[in-house]
This record gives sequence, structure tokens and C-alpha cells, in this order.
Amino acid sequence: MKKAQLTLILAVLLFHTINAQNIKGFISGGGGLSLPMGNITKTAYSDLSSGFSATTGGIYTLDAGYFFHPHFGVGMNLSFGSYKMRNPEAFALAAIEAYEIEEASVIPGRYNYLNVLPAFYYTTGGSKFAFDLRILAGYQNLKTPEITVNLEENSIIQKAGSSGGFAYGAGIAARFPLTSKIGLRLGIDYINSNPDISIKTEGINNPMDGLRIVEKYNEQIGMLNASIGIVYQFGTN
Amino acid sequence: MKFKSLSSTITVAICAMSIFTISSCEKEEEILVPAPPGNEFITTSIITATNSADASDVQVVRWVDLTPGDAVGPTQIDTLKLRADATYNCTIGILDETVLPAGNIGEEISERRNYHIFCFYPSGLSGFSMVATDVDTNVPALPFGMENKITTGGTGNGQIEVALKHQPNVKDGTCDPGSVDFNVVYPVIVY
Repeated sequence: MKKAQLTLILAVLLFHTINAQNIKGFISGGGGLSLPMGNITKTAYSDLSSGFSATTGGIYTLDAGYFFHPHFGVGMNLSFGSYKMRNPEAFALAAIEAYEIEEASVIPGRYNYLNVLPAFYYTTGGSKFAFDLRILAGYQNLKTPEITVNLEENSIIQKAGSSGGFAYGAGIAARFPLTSKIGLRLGIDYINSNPDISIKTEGINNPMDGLRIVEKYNEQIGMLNASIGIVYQFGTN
Repeated sequence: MKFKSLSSTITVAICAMSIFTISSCEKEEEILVPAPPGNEFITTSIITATNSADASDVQVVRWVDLTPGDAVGPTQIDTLKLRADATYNCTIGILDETVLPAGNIGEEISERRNYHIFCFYPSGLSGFSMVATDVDTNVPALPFGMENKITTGGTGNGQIEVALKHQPNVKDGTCDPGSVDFNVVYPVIVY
């Protein structure tokens, strides 16, 4: 069974290799889901590496590729998106415990990010179907959420912080033409970064031991981005 | 047919992108979190006053209400008897005597001194003052009041009101902000 599957995969790859790439490039725009990975998704209040990010967020993508060879090309991935916070109630509960108050409220912000990642492509397939592999390396900007905890008479605000830096990753995608120029593109990318973000907290008049005060967020962050988009292909026969 | 298929696909893609757009523009809502139920009571306040000029002159007075929160008043209110024109070093103890052994609430309050302050309001007494001598760990340090100094003037009868103010993240060294956790009144005789 395994041998048959392997044979089939090789046959498909061979077919696409023989049926050589016949487009010069593409531009694609779409959206999808982004799954953050790493300590950013932890929600342990006393652990300063915890990022309280939701485990899924939305993403918009703009991709482009230009093939200077039947199988190789260069391109760009622009993407931006956001993650809501998960378990922000922990911030209010900590304030309740720290200050022995009867209630507190929290207004959670969001993580926002922007990826600008030049890409190097390997592609195979033809006019009916194309399969792209790419490696990505470039810039990512990540902004942490502003978190406001309202106490009885005032508020403690962890201000948003942002930082840009190097990011890299890899991805796979499939392009299905619907017309000679227009098609669908399905892609998955994994992107890794390690932003170094300074964070300020305002409104703490009477510091207490149990309160979380993050001054720096410097954690490795992974993103698994799955997107679907409309692709415009050019240079087709 | 091909056009119809393309049209449907584009429509689906646009709808999907619209959902992401709408979701990313949502304003985050304020989440209200109530405190877990507590089970501690303040039933007893004890003032221990030691004459700074006479170590044998020690006054220990208690204010006790074992059923706080109901309509029944305190079951014990001692009178603080102090010498005229004297100075006393005082400490305040706070207990929960609804449990055995009694809970030392004062110790917990002391740990949370950064947002608590004892406030003293004497009345009917000439030249009488009660001021905090200890401080918290705020920067700069602010008065706390579990340790304090009483200075008496002339003889007379009056009272001293002792209030524990709860000032979560608003403590500024004054008795204005916050709410009252505990409020007792001791009769005072200066002789």
C-alpha cells in the first residue's frame, strides 16, 4: 500500500516536472487563520513569559512570485493579522487578590503583527495546477496588547509595546487556475521570530508583590499561517 | 458554467475576508470579574499603649463584636485610661475571633500595608493626638499606623475613633481616598 502511494506521489511530481512551469509569476491576496506558537499562548499569570494570546487569529495575506526559471523564482509575502487575548480575567483576579477588592474589570487588547518576508520559490506543476515551496526571511513587527485593569477608583494599564526584527520561515502552497489568469491559491507558512519588546505599565501607585509587571517581552514566537486567496497569474501560454 | 464557478469562488473568498475584517475591527469588551467569596471577619481590635516614661504603665483595651455585620453591637468596649501630659507608644492588633484559634488579621493587614492606613479621630480631648510612627514600603514611604504614638494634654474625657482605611492603589498618605474596612470608637479618660 505504501509502495503504491509512493509511486503515485512520484508519478504526480514527475508529471508536474515534465509539464513544466509555464507562467512567469503571480500575485495573490487572501485571508485565513494564524496559529501562534510558543510562550505567547501561555496564560500563567505569575510567569512573565506568558503572553495570554489566543491560540487562533485572523490573517490577511498578499503574496507574489516571479519565476526566472521553470522551477525557481523569487517573491514576497506580506501578511498582517491579530490575536485576541485568552484568559484576560487573570489580570483582574490578580488585582482583586493583590488589593483585596470586591471586583475589578479588564479591557483586553490584541496582538497585531505585520510580516514583510521576501521569498525564494521552488515550483512545480503546469497550467492546470502548481505546487510552490518557498523559504521566507525578512521583517516582522509585533505589537503587544494594551491591557487595562479597572480597580475601584483607578486603573492599571499595561501599555502596548511593539518591536520589529528578523523573521524567517517556510511554506507550501497550491495554485489552481480557474481561468487562464485567475485562480485559487491555498497556502500554509510557518514563520518564526524573536521580538524584543519593551513594555510600560502605568497607574501602579501602591505596588504589590502579586502584581505582574512586565518590562520586556522577549520570547520566541512561531506562527502557522493558513490562507486561501485569489491568485492572478501572468505570463501564461 | 466556468464563469459561474469562478463567481461563486470569488464570492466565498470575499465573504471569508469580510468576516476577518469585521472580527478584527471589533471593540474589545470590558470583562467584569467579581472577587471569590471571602471568609474572614474583623471582630476584635486591641490597643496596647505603653507610657514612654513609665514602662509599668501599660494599657490594653479591647473592642469586640463577634457578630460583625448584624444589628447587634459590640459586646466589649474597654476604656483607654491615660495619664495627662504623657506620651504612649501604641500598637494596634486586629483579630478574627469567630475561629479557634483566633485569626491574626493584623498580620495580614500589615503585609498589605501599601494600600491600608489607620486613621485616628480624637474628640473631646484637649491636646490629644495619635499619629502613625510606622510606614509602608511604597516609594516614597507612606504612614501605616499599626504602630503609633499618643500624646496626651490636659485631663478630661473623650473618645478616639480608629478607622482602618482600604485604599487599593490610591493610597497617598492621607485618609481621604478609599473605603473603611474597620471603624471602632474607644472611650478615653485622661487623668
